Amino acid sequence: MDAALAGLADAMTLGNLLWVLAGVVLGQFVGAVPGLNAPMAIAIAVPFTYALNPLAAIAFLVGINKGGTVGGAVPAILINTPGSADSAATALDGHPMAVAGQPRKALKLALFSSITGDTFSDIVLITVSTSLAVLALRAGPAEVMALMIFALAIIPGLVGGSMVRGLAAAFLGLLLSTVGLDQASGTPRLTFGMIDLYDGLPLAAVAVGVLAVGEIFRQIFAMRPPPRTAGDDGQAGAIASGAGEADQQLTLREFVALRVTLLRGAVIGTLVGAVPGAGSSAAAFLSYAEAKRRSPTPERFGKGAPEGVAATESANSAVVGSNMIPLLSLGIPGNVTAALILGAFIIHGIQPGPLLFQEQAQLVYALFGAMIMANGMNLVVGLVGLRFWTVVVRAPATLIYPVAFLFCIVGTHVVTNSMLGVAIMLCFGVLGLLMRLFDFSVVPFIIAFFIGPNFELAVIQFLVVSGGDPAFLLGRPVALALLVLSVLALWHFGFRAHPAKKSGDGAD
Amino acid sequence: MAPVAGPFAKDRFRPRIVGVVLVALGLVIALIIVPAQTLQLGRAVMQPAALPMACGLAMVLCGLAIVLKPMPDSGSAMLVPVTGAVTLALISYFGMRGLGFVIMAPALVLLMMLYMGERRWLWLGVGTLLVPLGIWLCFVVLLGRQLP
Repeated sequence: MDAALAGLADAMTLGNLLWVLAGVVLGQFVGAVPGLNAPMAIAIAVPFTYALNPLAAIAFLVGINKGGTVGGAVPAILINTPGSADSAATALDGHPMAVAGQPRKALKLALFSSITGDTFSDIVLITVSTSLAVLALRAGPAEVMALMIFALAIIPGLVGGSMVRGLAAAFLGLLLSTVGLDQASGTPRLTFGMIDLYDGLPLAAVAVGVLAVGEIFRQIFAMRPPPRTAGDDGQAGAIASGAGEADQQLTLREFVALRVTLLRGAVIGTLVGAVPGAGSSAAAFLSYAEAKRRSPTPERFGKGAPEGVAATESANSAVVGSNMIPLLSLGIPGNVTAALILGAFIIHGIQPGPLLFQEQAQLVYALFGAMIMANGMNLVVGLVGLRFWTVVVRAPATLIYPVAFLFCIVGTHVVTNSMLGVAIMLCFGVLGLLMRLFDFSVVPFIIAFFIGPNFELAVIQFLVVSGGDPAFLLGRPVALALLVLSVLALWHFGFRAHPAKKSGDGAD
Repeated sequence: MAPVAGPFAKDRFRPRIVGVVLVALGLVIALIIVPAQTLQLGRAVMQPAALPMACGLAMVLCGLAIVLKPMPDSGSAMLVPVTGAVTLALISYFGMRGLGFVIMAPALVLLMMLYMGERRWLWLGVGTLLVPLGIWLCFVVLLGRQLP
């Protein structure tokens, strides 16, 4: 209890408030710019948080994540161009609402729905993760190893696209995580004689390269976006000032009438977000489909039904909180954003996992406090910024991507303090581009790269306690069950399931 | 029956090439790079080469699975994007290392903006002058950090 109160007090300092605010503003900004999204912004921002204290750094990144989910609805609604895959479902009814003369109403509905879903999942996170961490503390190396194998087995299947390519990406990530000194013997491994690589490949350089630079390369050289974005022809502005003021108001009565849809979306998003690999786009489409199925007037969906916007936004925002459950309590990131936050933790010398609740409980509760604050700020910034984001939507891609590329170079140089870090980042940028061109999802790659060292450590510990005898697993039913589930997941996704839709930006 | 030609054939051919490349990459990693870049220890719970070797072999299996059961991918063109990306990466790295941020940042942004077709003076000015100046003022003057 003392730790909880002390943590909340830490979170409430003016400095942290300002960092959360900055994160939310930045998140909503990048979410509103078509082509940019929260994971990319977090990847670029991670190096810049190096100089901050751990709480401010994580709170800032969480602010970006939460803001990005809200901001992503803006281009989806105004110009029918989702900034990220999870906003695609929002465009289905949000854009028709905007075209019908209710753009600000649609934006407000998306905002309030987002905050509702997000707050719900944060409450679940706060109540569930501590208990889960207590449970995880009882787990031995066999269970930890089996859990990581399970995560690595289901993530390639759940992110969409080819299961085999996802697995190959995960193995490549795992392989590259072994660069540096071997954990058991301390001997150099895959370093090619470079002492600078003894600490391994810099996390920030790899994340920025694969997630941000790879996407920038793809946008510049493979997509060639026109100098003027879709919204730059005045469409966004025209839509934003579309109708009379009366049509733009979202009354409390209208919002309360959507309570069942909102709650259902929040529950779906929270459940999906807690499963490693199942991203916010899956949650949004599941919630949308469920809302449509249960609606007495399903024919209204796709033509500007407010329920459609409420269902998708509450679900995709609910993922934000719950994907921190496996990260904080088990040390396993469920998606790219969580992997990046894991990277930020590691950069600041903190290892997420069950021990975090024991050793740094105050920090955990401070983070929970910061997340709740971020929701409040998301609401305020969203309401104040609605008109501004309609202008941001019109920012030209020809400016956005070159400037983002420059920030990638600067950010990586700042955190690695060398041009070698920049070179590694650029190499991984090219790798990220190749992965996108050949449909290898970057999600399992990044997650495997980030959990690689912990996975190897768990394997070594398992070998020590078991003496290398696989029969040891027979006495560990949980570990055995997880390994069986891993095999079943591989079989299901690899042989039974048809490849799901391709992950839009590969960063969900 | 004549073999199926055209886009369908290309769709089936391309994944197989990807699979073959993956098999080759996995073999090079497992048989050449890992043995050369790791030490063999006399007594160890797990040899330093074990995990990287396993990953290389797993990539070989994944490559074989793609070759044996190819599924069409998005078929994105790769020559221009990859050439462009590598060129930009080389220009950025050697430019920043040789000329430094102050000269290279505006030049780099200008190059990219022009390549993307931007011709409006206002946006060119914002991208090439205002943004690099802002970054420089923020990091060098305000925070006292070094830029390339």
